[in-house]
Amino acid sequence: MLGILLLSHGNMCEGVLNAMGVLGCSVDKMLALPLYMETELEAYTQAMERAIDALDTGDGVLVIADLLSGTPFNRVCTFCETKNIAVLTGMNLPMCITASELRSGAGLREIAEECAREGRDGIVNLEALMKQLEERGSNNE
Amino acid sequence: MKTAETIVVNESGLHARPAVLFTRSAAQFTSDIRIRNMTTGSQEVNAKSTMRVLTLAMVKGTCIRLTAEGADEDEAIQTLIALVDSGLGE
Repeated sequence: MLGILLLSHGNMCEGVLNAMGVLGCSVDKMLALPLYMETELEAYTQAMERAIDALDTGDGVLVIADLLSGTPFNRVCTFCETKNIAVLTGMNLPMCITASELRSGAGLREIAEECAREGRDGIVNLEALMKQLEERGSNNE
Repeated sequence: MKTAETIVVNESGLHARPAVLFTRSAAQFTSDIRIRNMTTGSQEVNAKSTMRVLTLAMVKGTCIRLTAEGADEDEAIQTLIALVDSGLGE
């Protein structure tokens, strides 16, 4: 089963994990590593490596970070050659819920692609959606 | 292939928490399971994906159709229909 590691500035990642728990999602083999103002960078990187090693039981680890080029993302990229990880940025709840559901059956890369897709599709502008539904309704008349 | 329809009875419809309960229940079966919102005429979506299920926007009174295909299709349909009829824990 895939491991999932959430990384963020501040406790956004812990908040997302908490939200998943509220919804009743499986949060087995999931860890969140927040980066605070006072966090020592080397210690954070070491904690990240320990987390990846703990989560990888043979199927790799999907890492979901909050921000491209942010420090959590930059730090995890240093493990790309040495650990079996796939990394996504733009952490949101649709992405993380999908990750918790697609734990086995497909490879790490395929799961990452699917999570990225659901993450993007989960961004909806209500006004645009209402317009789309209205147009669909008038096309059916 | 096995198909059945039922009505969503939850006051708040199939929002996130009941949707997760539904998809986790569906995921325990090996059969391919699809769900469709018959009231709006939506496309069929994967019943094991919470995000796909939420796109169906199922409010109270929505008629849904479940389709299962596989070795445990009978049990899958029976279990999921009963789950929806029970109000998904709400």
